[in-house]
Amino acid sequence: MNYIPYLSTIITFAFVVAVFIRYRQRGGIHLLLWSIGLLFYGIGTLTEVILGLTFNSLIVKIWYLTGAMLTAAWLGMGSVHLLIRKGNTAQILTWVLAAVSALAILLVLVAPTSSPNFNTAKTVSEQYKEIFARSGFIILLTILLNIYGTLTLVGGAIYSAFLFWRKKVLANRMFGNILIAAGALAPATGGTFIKAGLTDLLYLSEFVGAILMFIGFMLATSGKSESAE
Amino acid sequence: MKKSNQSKRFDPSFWTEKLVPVLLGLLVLILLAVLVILVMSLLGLTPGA
Repeated sequence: MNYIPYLSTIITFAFVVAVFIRYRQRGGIHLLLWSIGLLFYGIGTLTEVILGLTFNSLIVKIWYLTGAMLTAAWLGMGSVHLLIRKGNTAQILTWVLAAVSALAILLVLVAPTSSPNFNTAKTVSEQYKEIFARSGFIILLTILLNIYGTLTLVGGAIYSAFLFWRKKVLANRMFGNILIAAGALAPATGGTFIKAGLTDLLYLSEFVGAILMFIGFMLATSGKSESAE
Repeated sequence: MKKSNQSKRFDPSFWTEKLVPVLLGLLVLILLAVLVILVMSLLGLTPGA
């Protein structure tokens, strides 16, 4: 039995609550979009918990949708809103992402499934390809969403950290963004290892990513920063 | 009342001054590696796409 998804799920849902509370207190569409992205993250790790106990092909599809397709893109969309404040570029991109996400959900839900000998002791990332047939278009969407999400989320955090470092202001936000970038890179690297046919470290990378991003977020939004705003 | 920009400033230690850009550079390299592999998988050049 793999206990890592249990821990990842608990941490991620606590993270969702923390970000959503901040959104309710302060507003900011980026916080709402991060909440949505983290909710996908948490649902993804929750499906790993369920698939460690029993098999259901719909749960495998939800795992693929949330974990492999939507999480990074929606988290990255939050970063885009934070960094691009002028004009309506961020709003347009959000609507495009919403449309692409709806298409992805439709395509994955109608994709044909088979019933192989699913082994609950193994990770779903080792077995999902035998369970539902991904069309070339689904694979294309998955990769494009991941490129967009990784580039905007990690790139945005690195860029923010660099600005704070260069201006020598808000040290907590600088270190917070470094942790967020490192945390976001963890599951991205885990997923990339699978794509490259290397070791499957996805569950561990999701756990490390959730912890680092949560600590980074708490640091970046700590009281020291609040008083300085 | 908003505090001045001066109050947001920090005096970087030697490690903050030198280590942070190294860390950021390392993160950029990892990000680029991830993106390259993603593009390779888009082109069908990886075994596990």
